Amino acid sequence: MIDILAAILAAIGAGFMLVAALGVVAFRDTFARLHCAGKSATLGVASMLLAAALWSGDGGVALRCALAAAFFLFTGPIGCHALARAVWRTRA
Amino acid sequence: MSALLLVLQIAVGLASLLALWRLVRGPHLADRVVALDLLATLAVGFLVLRAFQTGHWLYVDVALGIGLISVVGTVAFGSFVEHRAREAREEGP
Repeated sequence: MIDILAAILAAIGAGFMLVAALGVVAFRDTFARLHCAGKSATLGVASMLLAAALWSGDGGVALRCALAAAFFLFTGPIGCHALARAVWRTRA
Repeated sequence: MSALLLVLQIAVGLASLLALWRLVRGPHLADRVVALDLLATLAVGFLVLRAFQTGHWLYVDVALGIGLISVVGTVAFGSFVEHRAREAREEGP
């Protein structure tokens, strides 16, 4: 059961990453690219780390994976916001 | 599980190639930084998949290190872009 859940989570993560890369290539504006890379990729990597936490079966590894997922969920928007702010102020 | 992991790794590798294309092509510096940030995130995902595959969970620590450095790098690049534009405006015509 946990195996299936972890596989589904990992597949969701890889799918979100692929969508993020597709958007970064296809979108025309820098802000659109930021929007795509900042959200989908963050969610993808967090989902993949949660899958690893579920599948590892080891308490320490699961805790580390969950902490890493929380770290990515916090810092992804920070980096995205810093970059978007720089682009916005540069073009104004 | 191993066949699924192979498919997921191919998907992440394809995404890395797409991000690399944007890194090479990107018209502005900010586009390149976006692509670089995405590449670091994809590297983290690939390392987690590799940890799945081999059972060496040390890869997750490596992924966490890459993520740490990538965030600091993105924020620093954003600051650099902003300051460079301001200096260019002050020196301008």
